[in-house]
Amino acid sequence: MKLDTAEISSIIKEQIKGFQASAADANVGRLISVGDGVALIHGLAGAMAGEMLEFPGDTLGMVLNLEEDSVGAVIFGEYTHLSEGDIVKCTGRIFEVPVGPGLKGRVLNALGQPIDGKGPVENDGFDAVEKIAPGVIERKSVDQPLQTGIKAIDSMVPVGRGQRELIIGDRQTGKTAIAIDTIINQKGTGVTCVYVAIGQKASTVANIVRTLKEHDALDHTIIVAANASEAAALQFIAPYSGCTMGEYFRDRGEDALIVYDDLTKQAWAYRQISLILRRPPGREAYPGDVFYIHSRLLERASRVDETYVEKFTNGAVKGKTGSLTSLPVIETQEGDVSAFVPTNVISITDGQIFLETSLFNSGQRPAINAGLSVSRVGGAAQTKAMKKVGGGLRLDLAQYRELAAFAQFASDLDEATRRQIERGKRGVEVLKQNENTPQSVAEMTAILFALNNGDLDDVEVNKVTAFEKAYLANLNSAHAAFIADLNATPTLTDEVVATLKKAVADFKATGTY
Amino acid sequence: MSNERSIASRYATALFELSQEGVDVAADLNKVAQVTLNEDAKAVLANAQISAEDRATIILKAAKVSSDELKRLLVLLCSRNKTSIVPLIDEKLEQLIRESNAQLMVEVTVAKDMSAALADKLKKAVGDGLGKKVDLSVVVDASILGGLILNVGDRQIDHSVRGRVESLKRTLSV
Repeated sequence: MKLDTAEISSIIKEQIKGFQASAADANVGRLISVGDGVALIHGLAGAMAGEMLEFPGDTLGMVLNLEEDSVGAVIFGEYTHLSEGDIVKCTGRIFEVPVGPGLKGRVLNALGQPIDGKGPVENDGFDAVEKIAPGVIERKSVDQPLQTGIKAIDSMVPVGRGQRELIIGDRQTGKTAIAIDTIINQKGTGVTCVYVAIGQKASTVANIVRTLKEHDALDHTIIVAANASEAAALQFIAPYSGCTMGEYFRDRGEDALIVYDDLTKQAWAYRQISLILRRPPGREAYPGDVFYIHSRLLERASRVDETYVEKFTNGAVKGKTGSLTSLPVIETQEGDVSAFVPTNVISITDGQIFLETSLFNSGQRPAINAGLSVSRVGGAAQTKAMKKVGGGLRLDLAQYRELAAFAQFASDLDEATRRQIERGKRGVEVLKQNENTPQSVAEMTAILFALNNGDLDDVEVNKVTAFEKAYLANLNSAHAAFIADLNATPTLTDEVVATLKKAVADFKATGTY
Repeated sequence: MSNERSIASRYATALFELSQEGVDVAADLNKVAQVTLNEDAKAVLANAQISAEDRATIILKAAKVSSDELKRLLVLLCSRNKTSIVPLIDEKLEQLIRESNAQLMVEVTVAKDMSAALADKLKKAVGDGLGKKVDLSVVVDASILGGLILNVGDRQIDHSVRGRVESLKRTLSV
């Protein structure tokens, strides 16, 4: 962008013209103590809970504790320049962040300030960080699919728009990869994505930004980062900031997706703040309201009805529903899902995708445990085609696992059992998928149809992946129109079934896999 | 610290109610509070080998004050190891008395020392504006460049040149 100097001068002139040097009337208090990112302030008689405070040196804070004659606040950022007796001012505003479509493609901190060096953010006003979730009347049930582009998820644990689906697993099991793949798959669907990185390494966030950019997925994504080196207060507030940015789209009749990566670290940050504020510790030293910090955040993920959108936009947007789908991530220690925070979040969400280290190490990636992963509402949102081809998959895989364990002891098996084991082996192979390669509904339908139809039974197990790749490439080139149609109306009509049967037979006849 | 303030306010309220009943200790308490800030006095107050009674007597003597009520207060505080809150009690008591007299403590910060006539004029203007009697204290701080800053309790009215420059800076940097 190039600005000529006359233009700059005129902008400054406008700003000075509009500037009114009136006396500033403020509610003030004095710092009693400050340390570990938490300040105790005497005075501030009119302070509100959650109000933004102004410390000397352009430092911001937020009121958390209102006590008889003092106020406990967290400081966002550096606090070493503050000292006892410093004046702290109320701003009269509840904590808010910039929102709007101009945020897409940007990397922001938890306060909504840009940290990607691309200049100021073009925002459409500001909005409060802590908001109450839409009520019962304003909601609509989840019935539209949010395609993740991952076969194992879209077929067995489908996610609907407005759903909250937890991604849970130990470290290094591919939790972030699933979230990023889902964001990449939203390219061209009109779904705006928000990725909130909490307590992660700055280098990890930089890698994610690069991956999204490489796959052209950054243009529809807002990244909110509160890195490990930043104040606990910022790590605590980041998910709420991101949620407010996502809600902007939901309330205007659009669809949005938000990933919180991860809420375990947010709970840690909140535990730190609470202990320093001397709130009584409870189980695992978390404060009493650690359930509430997650429940009020995840409740904000919702699908709102047409009336809500119309009312919110004052009639500008009519007949459209809005949704905010959330994918919270929780990291477990040694697969222990019965720890405090994991059980809390499991109970709040509408299902979970459970990732396992043993599966990951045995080469099954994504390492989704099909038995423990569930989606409580996504079934209603699954496309008809996927429901048909993916319906029996869960059961087949469960039976396969049982038989496979049994078959290790039995030397000769009857034909039916042997066939079921062979089918199961191929099913497991089909569900393997590389990172950053989301598939379309039609592609998934085609390969899962081939599996169910027994077309893969005579393909060697170690060649299934190669078969899939070649078959899908063949479909995309030889049957491009059919694939486009199936993507547009994903229903398994007799005609589609016939075409799929013919396509796979034709492909197998070529023997090019 | 915050806790100490709320404890101090309990004692101050008790003393204030006593003063309403005709026992005025405010002036004497102020002297005692000055003494308790002294390092030697702190050492005496913290010394558990001296009885609480004796510690109170020593402090009162040092402050050149003789008041039975204050002595009993000090004995009470010594026995509860709370002598460090005496200045806070004094501060709170003063505030309570001022409130009951409909009197306001106003601190005005100016860049240059102002004349008595001007201070009087300001005092009258502020008093009329707030509808209360005003106790004006003037602080000189050259760093505010010009204008004035009024501090009335928790309220601050900033009409200084520095404040205006800062708000201009904020407007331009947005």
